[in-house]
Amino acid sequence: MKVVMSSARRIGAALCLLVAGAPAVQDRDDREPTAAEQAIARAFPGCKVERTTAWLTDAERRRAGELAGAEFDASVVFPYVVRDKDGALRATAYFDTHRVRTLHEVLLVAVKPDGTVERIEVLAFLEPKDYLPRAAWYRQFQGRALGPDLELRRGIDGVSGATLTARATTDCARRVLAVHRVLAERAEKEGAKERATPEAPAPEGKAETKAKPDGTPPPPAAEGPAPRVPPKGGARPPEEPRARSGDLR
Amino acid sequence: MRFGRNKLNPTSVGARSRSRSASTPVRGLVALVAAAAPATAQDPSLEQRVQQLEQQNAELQRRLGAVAEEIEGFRLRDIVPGVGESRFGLGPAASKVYAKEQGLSIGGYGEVLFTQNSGATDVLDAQRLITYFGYKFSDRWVFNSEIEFEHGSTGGGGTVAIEFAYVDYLWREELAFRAGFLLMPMGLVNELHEPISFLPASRPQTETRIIPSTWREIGAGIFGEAGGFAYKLFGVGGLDGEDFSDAGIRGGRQSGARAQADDFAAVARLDWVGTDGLLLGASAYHGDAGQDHLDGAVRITDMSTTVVDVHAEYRTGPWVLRGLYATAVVEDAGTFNTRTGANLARRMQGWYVEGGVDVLALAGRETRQALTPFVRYEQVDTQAWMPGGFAPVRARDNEILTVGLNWKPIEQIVFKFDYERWIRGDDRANVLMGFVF
Repeated sequence: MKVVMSSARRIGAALCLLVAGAPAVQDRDDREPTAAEQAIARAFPGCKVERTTAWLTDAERRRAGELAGAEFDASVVFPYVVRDKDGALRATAYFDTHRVRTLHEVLLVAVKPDGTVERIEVLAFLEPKDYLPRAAWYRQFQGRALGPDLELRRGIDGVSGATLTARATTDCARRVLAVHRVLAERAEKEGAKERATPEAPAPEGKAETKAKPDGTPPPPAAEGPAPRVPPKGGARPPEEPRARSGDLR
Repeated sequence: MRFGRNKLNPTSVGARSRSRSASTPVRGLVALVAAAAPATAQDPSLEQRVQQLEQQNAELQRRLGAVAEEIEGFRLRDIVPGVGESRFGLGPAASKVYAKEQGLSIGGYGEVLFTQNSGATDVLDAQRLITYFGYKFSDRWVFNSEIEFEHGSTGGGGTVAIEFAYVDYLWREELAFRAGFLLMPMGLVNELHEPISFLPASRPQTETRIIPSTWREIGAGIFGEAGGFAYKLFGVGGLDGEDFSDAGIRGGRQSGARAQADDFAAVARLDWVGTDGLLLGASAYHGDAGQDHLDGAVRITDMSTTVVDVHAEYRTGPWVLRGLYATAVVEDAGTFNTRTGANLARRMQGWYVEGGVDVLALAGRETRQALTPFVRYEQVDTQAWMPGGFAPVRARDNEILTVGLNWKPIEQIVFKFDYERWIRGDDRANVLMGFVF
């Protein structure tokens, strides 16, 4: 009997592990913060930051590319969920590395719960300083939603002498907002699926409702990016993918 | 890696042996238990498989996490936790984060031009190819340079020249140092003359004859930004007035080519950059240009030369508007003319306004192309005020109206089509291809 019970418990635990395929939530309390985490901590002082990992399917990558208006080739992204001290979602931050002219820059793009840009920060810029726009230029991205206006010579003014940097930054903002929306769409689908599933007794050992076999408390539900909400103010609501017929690149 | 899939499970073998030797009641009890949980008590391979799956899944999760960390670490390898003060132009979150210490940056631009002249030979010209090399020795020490190849070949009258080559020490945002072969910080075109930076095919005459771009001299100085203002202040080698003419001061550029260094000059620039899309400022140059040229034992003249300009540029959405006024004053122009037979003006002046709108963006077309019709109007007179006894050359007083179309299929490539109407001089039609990389 003891053999049977022990086996059943192990089966349940194994099933639990197989089912719990949600994005990994890393516990970093036991290691030194990375440079990226330090950057987020400075951008959002006093907030709690949770690093998550989101693996994208091929369909999601294509969808992100359509929304961004350019190829999206990352298979994994790392949304950093930022919460205030009271637990309210403040923003989701992404890091993006890309080429400006011949060298790279790294931008931190923070996205508000409504899916608009909270801010853009330059964390590394390897090109000559002359190609770096002034800090005031980056402020025009604040409050921008993904749409036709998030483009140079439309909602975003160009910069004399830094055209390539302006293009790289604008493309980055579009890319981040696109993947943020894709993850929000995924979260909506998963939430809709859960609501549609008839409520059943939780099986023994399921992580969401019970402690793990070794006694540690269950992890919090993987937050991921906030669900899509129409942006406030004059910002346009999220758009369908941009038509790009006849475009030359 | 396989977790013992081919190994016999000693527990399952022992259980079968014990069941064969057990007494009948025990055998019956085992049978009852087996009936209650047949999949586990009587099928050891299933338990083995579950164990293996547990282990494999745990290992996969571990590896996946490690791979994800490696990927993120690689992507963000250029961020280095730093200590110290803010970097130039970076926001608060980056105040302690620096870039990698070293890096070679390569770039360049070029122009190929066709000009149809109404009263002269039409011309096809590989106008220029510029290669840029920059090297960041550290976050504070940076080298920038450009080499210019003009007009196709030195065998056909073309030139190869150093456009600039200088070292910066980036001490603070408010104060940095520069030394070497410097671009003069004057006007709108002299420091920023890539083909995608201005709309027409040709540079304005005002910024060719009065601010003689591309104007560069050897010197050193300071620059920085504070409170919405950007400034530059350099000491440089002076012009050589011997080659001034009725066409302007362009011939006086020494360009670091074993330059006469008997006279030096100072140049300063101040811009308001605190408003998005707006550049508003002024610059001034002053220095002697006599360079101790002698007529017998007598220095011809000091030829004190002053050039001043005010400039503005505004970009908002699809609109771009820019304008400039410049004037140059040469003291002792009369003395110079008497000694040399030239017809140099005491004062010359010019101004222009230029504007355009990206009609594709204006129409809300979802494209990264830009199609910008534009117009430039200019007046330039290098003989505005003459010294006593000398008459102006009328042909040097000009008005030029340029209209055209500027097409960028992508940000880095531009095709320009324009027509220049000269009040005095040959009209010309231009087709130019330009690129930046």
